Amino acid sequence: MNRAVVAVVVFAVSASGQEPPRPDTTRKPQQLPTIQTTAPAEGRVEFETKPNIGHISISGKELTQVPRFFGESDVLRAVRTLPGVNARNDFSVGMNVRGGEADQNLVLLDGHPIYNPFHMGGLFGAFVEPMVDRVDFLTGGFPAQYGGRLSSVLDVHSAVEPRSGIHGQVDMSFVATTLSLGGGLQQGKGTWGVAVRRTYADKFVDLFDKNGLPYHFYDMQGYTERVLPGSIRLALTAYNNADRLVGVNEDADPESYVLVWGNRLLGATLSRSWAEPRILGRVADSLTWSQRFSLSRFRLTMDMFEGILTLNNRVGDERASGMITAHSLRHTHSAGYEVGTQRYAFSANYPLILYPSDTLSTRNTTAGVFYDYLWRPNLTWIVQAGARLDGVSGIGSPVLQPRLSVKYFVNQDLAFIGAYGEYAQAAHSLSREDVPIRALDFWAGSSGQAPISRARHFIAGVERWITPSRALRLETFYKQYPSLVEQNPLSDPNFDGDEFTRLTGYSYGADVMLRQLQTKRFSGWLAYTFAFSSRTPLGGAPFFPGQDRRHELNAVGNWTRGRYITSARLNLASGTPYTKPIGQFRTRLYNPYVHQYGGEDLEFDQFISGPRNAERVSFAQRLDLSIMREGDGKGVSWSPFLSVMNVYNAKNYFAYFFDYSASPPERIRIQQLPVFPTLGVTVAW
Amino acid sequence: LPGRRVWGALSALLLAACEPPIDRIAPQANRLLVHAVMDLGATDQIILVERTKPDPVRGIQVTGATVTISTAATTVQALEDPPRELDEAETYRVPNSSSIPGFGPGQTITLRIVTPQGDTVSGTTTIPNNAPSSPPVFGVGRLNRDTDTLRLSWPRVAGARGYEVGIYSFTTIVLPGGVEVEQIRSTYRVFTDTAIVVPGTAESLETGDQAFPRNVRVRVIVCAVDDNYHTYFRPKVDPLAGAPPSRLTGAIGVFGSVSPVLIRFYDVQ
Repeated sequence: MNRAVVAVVVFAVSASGQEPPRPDTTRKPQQLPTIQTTAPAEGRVEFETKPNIGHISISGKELTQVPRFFGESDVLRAVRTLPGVNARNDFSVGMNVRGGEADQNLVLLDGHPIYNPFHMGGLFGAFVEPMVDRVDFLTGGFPAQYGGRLSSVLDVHSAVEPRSGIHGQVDMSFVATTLSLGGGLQQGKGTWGVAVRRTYADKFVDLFDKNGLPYHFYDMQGYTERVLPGSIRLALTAYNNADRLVGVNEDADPESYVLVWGNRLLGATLSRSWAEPRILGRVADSLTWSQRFSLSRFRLTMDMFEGILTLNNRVGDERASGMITAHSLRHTHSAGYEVGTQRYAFSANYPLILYPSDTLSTRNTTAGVFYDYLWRPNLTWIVQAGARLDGVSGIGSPVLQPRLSVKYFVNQDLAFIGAYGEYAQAAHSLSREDVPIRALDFWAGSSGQAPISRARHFIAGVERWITPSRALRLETFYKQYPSLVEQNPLSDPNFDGDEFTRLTGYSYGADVMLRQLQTKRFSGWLAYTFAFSSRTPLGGAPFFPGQDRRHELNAVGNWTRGRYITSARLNLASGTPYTKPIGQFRTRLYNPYVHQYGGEDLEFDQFISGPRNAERVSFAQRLDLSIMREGDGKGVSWSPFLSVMNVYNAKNYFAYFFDYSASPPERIRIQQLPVFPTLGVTVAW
Repeated sequence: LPGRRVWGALSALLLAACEPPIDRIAPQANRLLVHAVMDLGATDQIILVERTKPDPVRGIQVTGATVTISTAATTVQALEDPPRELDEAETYRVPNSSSIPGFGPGQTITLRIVTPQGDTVSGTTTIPNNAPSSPPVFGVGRLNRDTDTLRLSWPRVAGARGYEVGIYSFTTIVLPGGVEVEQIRSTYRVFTDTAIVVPGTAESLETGDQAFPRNVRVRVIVCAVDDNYHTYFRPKVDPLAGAPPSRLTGAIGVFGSVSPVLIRFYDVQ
């Protein structure tokens, strides 16, 4: 919901004089007109008060106005429609922001990190929609308080239910049912909310075939905020999700299979504000302090066919961070710190394209400090300058990351913006960008062989508010990557230190967003992204990375007519690069026991690759639609909806198989999702 | 009219969406493919030469090539085996390699192939510095596949990039005429360092074979392998990364070397 506050204020004016007036019973009371004041939209406030570069603040309701995916509102999929974001295909929730790799995005829930907020191998995002109040998405040039990733920050804020009593909603879709409950506490000063979601395809299939589909996923998300003695606010965030595929095949020789992954997060934030505190002899308007603690876990366990195919990935992240900010009319000073430990463990006994066969274990102790200064010298300029110093134990010197953002107002509705920033990242994904399906990120930490990744952002742009509810923003960017790593597909599990190879590179481009904020009848945005990316392996030739999609356009609209809400999303996207196999041959293994080559089980086809990522998959286009009939809002409200994904069944291809053993040889196109209609209902009270 | 424009645009998108899923593509370029492994445990050294694109007359075979291996002391020309099936690679053989001066542990061997069409292939390998093991005369072990685990270790070999463990079982078939021939029944292969642990219930993901099928004798052979062999044969199939780089000049494939460091037999129960 757009949180722009609409306040209706009726002023009662009383006459005043030196003597108390005597009541005039002959005059009728005069009705004064109603005055409606509308607070400026949050985006407008950000525009006026901050450089706000690469920053999109968007409400959960706006994001969920993007048509549903298999009937599910999906915040992470909706974020992929924003400018600067390239999405590879339907089978990946992974985002590539302004040419960056998909592991360069920091995902936070109420400021606490989450490593793999995805379900079903990347098909669904894991945040429960009714629990999302707002998303702050920073696509570049982000200020010094954010560290640890090179390309973007996605900060998801939990929804707050201020009304007393218990309120909630149930969403029933083709895939899952979501129940959310919440209410106010402490006379509106506090709040609580919980939500659970579970898929039920397994239960449905059980009706016909017991254990026929032993897979489900679930999410549990909770948030509460209370005021403690001393005016300290305590916010607690709890999150738990999992995908579970556990069963036994029914062959003559039964074998069990287990594939379970999920995230757990427990986060606490203490905060307090002081009005007009005296700091270093000066009085500030206000002072705010916050202190965060978080425990974040990611765990994946796979054991297929009784140990033949095993994979384990564990991430344990404990961190504490704090920030203190002093506000005054022209100056805002912020300083903070972050310390933590991140433990990464990965082991797999057989390589698949999605991950390597290797055993890795790293423990990073990280520490960072930052300072940020926001200066508004006059009505024309806003300057934000800061620096961040991040270090990882045992991995060289701490990395200093200066940040600078500037905004120049030509007039109150038009401003030019510019930014420079340096960024460092100590966590690396073992997933390869060249693989078009990104089921999950398998995480590993920095080490001597996998140094800290680095990036520099140069951004220039312009933002224009056309009306109080309509804005246009254009930003151009150039990103340097002096140090990157990628998983080595030829890594040897018996050799330590070859898991990653080193890269350098750059990306440049531009993105534009024309955004219509919520009005009575329409809201939406038009987002176009152009990006060009190049990477160069150490001692190798430059290539276009797998995410190098040059053009992507998303048009998202949401129309309200009476009780009907229609949402549409049109996506047009140019092809991403891939490496074309240019030949195929038979590898004949040598059997040293019988001194022969090949034979049964000792031969397989190998592929000869052409230049890396020199070809591109075809252009993709797609239209999604949702129509909802809203309930009347009184008591229990029923809102049925129809959602159609890929309305005209566009055949979008995201990968090809090549078969040179066929005569003539063939290229088989691998299609994205076809048309898929779903029905559902939302019940709210 | 706006409505017509909308319908026109939708029709264009629908047309764009109608594409067949399979495309015919150009045949691949014809390449020479060589598999050549110098095996200190073998009497004859075998070199396979073929083409990636079948010829209507010769199939994939490359006949009439001049194949030589050179040591520091001498050069020996391989003999061409009698013609085989058209879909099998042409076999060139260097007999009695142990008698070739300079062919032994730690030695560097050069391969050279010149085809009748004028293609020239060359490569070198350095054989791991290990006197090859022989099959055990006595001492067949027993292994219960339900309860036992095979644990083996061996000393490091100079010049070895790694070690390949192969676990094979065989069945005997009787050909017409009563000739008995052993055929491979199961295969389990893995690259490792100087030790390995294989559960009795292990299976090969590639072949689906059990490492230790019940009621058969399995042969376990551990070979030290050179860098060329290790680089070429260890990676699994990855169509996105492609085949591992060949160290040959003028062809794809491998010229590597192996030396058996350990051979064991087990009767599986």
